[in-house]
Amino acid sequence: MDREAREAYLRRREEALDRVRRLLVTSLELPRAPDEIDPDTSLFGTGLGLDSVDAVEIVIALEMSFGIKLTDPDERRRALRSVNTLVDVVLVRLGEVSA
Amino acid sequence: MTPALADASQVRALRASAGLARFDHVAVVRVEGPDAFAVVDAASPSPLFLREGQIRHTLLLDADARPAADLYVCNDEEELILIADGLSAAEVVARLEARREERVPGTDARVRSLAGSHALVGVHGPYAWEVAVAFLGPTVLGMPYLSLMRAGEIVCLRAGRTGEFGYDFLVPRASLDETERRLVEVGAPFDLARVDLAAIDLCALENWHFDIRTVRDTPLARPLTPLELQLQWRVDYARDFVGAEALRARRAAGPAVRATFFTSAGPVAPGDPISLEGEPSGEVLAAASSPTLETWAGTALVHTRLAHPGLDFVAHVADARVALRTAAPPLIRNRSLFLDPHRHSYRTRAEDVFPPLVSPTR
Repeated sequence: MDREAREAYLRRREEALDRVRRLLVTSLELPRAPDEIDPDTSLFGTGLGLDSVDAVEIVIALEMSFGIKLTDPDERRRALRSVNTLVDVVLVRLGEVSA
Repeated sequence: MTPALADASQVRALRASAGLARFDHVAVVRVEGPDAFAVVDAASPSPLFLREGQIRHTLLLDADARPAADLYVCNDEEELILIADGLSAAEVVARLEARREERVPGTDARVRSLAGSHALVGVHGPYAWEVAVAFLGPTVLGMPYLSLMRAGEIVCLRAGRTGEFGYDFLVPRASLDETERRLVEVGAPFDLARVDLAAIDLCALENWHFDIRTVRDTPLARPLTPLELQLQWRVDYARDFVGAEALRARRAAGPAVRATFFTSAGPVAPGDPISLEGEPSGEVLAAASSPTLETWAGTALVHTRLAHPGLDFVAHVADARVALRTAAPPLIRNRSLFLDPHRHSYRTRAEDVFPPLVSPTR
């Protein structure tokens, strides 16, 4: 990746991360500012400690905000591991990085 | 003991069957009395919101906001049990007492070390639940992650840092040998293997779990706080806690670096500088050869602007250069995520179908 491509990637990544953080705060009504949600924080178990109802909320919010449907169970499982794995899916599905 | 010294066969046991470990490195403290909750809550950077039978993961911080202990708070009926990694039991007691004196003086709670009276052993791995069922009965199957259950004199904690099923058993020290003997006996059909702390730590590193000892034992130019370590989920900035002022100041200034997962083409070590196109970009915090990922993996402190997955860096190792790529952890698709105790078992593992252990998108 040359410098120009890297800077463009970083910009897209930051933008997607910012949108995903806001989506989590809004859809799950988290009592936190978006910047308090670290990129590699786990969504379930330790980390944000979400549950299966929250998972449904995230899937719905992704569709509403990004038009992304997570219908494949395997992809859904991978996407919902951390904030950054959600960002990965958003970037890939919006065609902003290759899979 | 570091992840770099882990025995690969022990790590494979933790990923494929189950491992039995003794956790002599942790401190166990009991807080009892009507105000037990108030005393522990005053020391925690995050609100505890702890119902009976639940476990909460928190920290103890130094005044400069550096994590001093990785702490589980367990609500066991009328008392709280604290399991701390990073400090001795005496140090945990001293910190709680100092905090009580400062924030909630005169409260009615007894804080005491269980170092001499109790010990902690655990079984971890995708089939650890079968060992736990054979040991304590089917009730353990109903335990959610971060919960506890009493079985006579044993307190069973569903917890762990490997990304796999984990059950830790807090037992009176006098019963430790018998407990281990019994676990080895009931674990034999599941190929339960003895594993050491290095193997557990390597699994934690592979799965992106925080390791307080890595941070404590690595010389750093400036202290790392939950902000750089991606542990803000264990902190509530609105609370009053030891280190709060320093942490809020660090947040206002913006963190210079962020802990970031990576894989590398060869050996790297804590302290090795990393660069991107010749520009200094951070340093390695922890690294080890990962038997599961079949590559080197670790955590680097990367300049915040570049602390994202998918970037190619170079680590400077003595006179050599090693390619290093950041990634979104965990890259492991833990078998435990796909195992259903009602459908799968160790006995039928050859017929059961699971996805590969490593994500194809890594």
